[in-house]
Amino acid sequence: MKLKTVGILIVSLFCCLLISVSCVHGIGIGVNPAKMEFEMGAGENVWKNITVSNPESAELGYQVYLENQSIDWIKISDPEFSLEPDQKKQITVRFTPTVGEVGEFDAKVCVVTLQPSGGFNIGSGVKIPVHITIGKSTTPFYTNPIIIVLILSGLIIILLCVRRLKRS
Amino acid sequence: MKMGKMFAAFAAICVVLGTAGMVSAHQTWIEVDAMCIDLGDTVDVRLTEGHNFAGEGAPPFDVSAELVDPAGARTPLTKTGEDDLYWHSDFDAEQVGLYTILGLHVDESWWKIYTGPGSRPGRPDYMYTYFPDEINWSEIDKTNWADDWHVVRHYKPYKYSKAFVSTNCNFYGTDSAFGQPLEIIPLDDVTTVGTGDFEFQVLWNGRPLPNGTIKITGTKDIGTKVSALCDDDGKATLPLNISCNWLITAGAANDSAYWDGEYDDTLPHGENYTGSGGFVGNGHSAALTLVEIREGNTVTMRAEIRPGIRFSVTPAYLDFGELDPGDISEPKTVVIQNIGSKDLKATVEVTDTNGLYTEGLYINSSLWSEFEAAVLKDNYTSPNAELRVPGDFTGSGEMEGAIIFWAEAI
Repeated sequence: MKLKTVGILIVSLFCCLLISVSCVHGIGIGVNPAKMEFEMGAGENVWKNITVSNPESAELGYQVYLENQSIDWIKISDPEFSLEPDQKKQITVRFTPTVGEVGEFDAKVCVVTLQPSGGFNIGSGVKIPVHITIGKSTTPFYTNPIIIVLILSGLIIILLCVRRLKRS
Repeated sequence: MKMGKMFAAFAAICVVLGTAGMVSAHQTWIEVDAMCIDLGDTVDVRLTEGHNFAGEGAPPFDVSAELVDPAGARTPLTKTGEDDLYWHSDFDAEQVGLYTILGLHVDESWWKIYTGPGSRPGRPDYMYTYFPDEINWSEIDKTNWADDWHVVRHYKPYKYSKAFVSTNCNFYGTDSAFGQPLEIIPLDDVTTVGTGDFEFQVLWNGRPLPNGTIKITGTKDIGTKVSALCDDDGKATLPLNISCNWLITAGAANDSAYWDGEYDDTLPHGENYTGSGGFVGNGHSAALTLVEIREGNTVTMRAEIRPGIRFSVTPAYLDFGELDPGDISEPKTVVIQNIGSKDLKATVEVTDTNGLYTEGLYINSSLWSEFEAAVLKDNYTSPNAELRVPGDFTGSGEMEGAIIFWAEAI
């Protein structure tokens, strides 16, 4: 009887401990910067860094993704990772709009952590608004290799024509 | 006779040993790597003895050290090792503020005997010979001694040492006495050492000794020393004009200034000596190590910039309990705490596979999709969440779903 009471006590203590462990920490996230706004030229590559941190006292898993998945010229370097308590990680977002993408673009980079707790998962996330102004290519035409090849070809053709004219 | 030769050989060895170190008495001091340290650092504490701030070996005989932490608690420092140069100990600096390290070295007893010019081979100008501990006066070789040889002092050396380290580079409190019998107290800011005149006070059992009793010396190296006599208040100022580590030492100003003992006229002496007897008692000396505050260890500026967005949601688990169709759960309070540097707009997103949460989760009595709250930085909001199970809900068992609290800077 006494042994049974002690056993119940130990199990109860263990349960209390488990409950308290699951309740002691929240689910948090730290993200920097809070927003992004920049200009770039079509056809250019731009890299921007985002720092994600875990402010909680337990390890948490994080996911980074673009809210509007249809924009395929924005790439996330490390879309899934875990962070130890107070650990931070820098991820890179690469913007590579094609030459045709000109104008104003808005997107949101989402960083989220989810706490799997059985049936109903709870999580916290940050949405980073990104506003990009894409201008026409700022690359000077004389540095474009295709233009250079065309110019050189034209010059050679002109030279050849001039020679022929001189011979005739 | 055989015993006599052995004693003569022993005495000769002692003389040679004594010769090596008798330009000035052995000093014992504490060495630390830096006075400004980081919180949590393990501080290596080393005691060494030598001359002119050049260590020559670990102090022999009785050595101990004590730590006074920022809260004033005293703990003995355990010896962690010994090598050719140092007696080692260490401690973890886990508190913010000033740590004071106090060392004590009790050496063996020594005799200082005036033996006259030319009495020591290799050192014709030096007039004194030192012997450790007991001497058999009838057996000792006095061939080269002056006929007025006499005992100057027979003493047991007590050597007190002190050093400071601080985890926040704040040295408030270094001008306090820490209870060493003979103690050097820096009255000026120890972080300014090396920039000019620096005032010290030397106390014996908490009180100054008479004017001229104590000589205080600042040593950078063998060629750079400054000295002064302490006044009636035990105070003296040393011109510490060079930016470097300084060893400050204090002790009896001269052979007639020893105070912890008595002068004994019955001590042996040469037949032509007519002066007073030598001092018999304890010799006390103190050392204070002042480590230059270098640029490397004064960089105490530290800043952690809070991320633009940082927030925490508690609890990390929502359990609405066992419910029937049509039931409304007990409200559960969720705390959204903004711990970042920007104000936030908080919204909620709920997903599930069966419509239980997307149709039945209410926050502050409104469907979750209507929830939006501004959470100012360093502030929090605590909405209530409740689950209203639709009356026609047909599912059963543990229902899967997810709630995400989203934040965006405003």
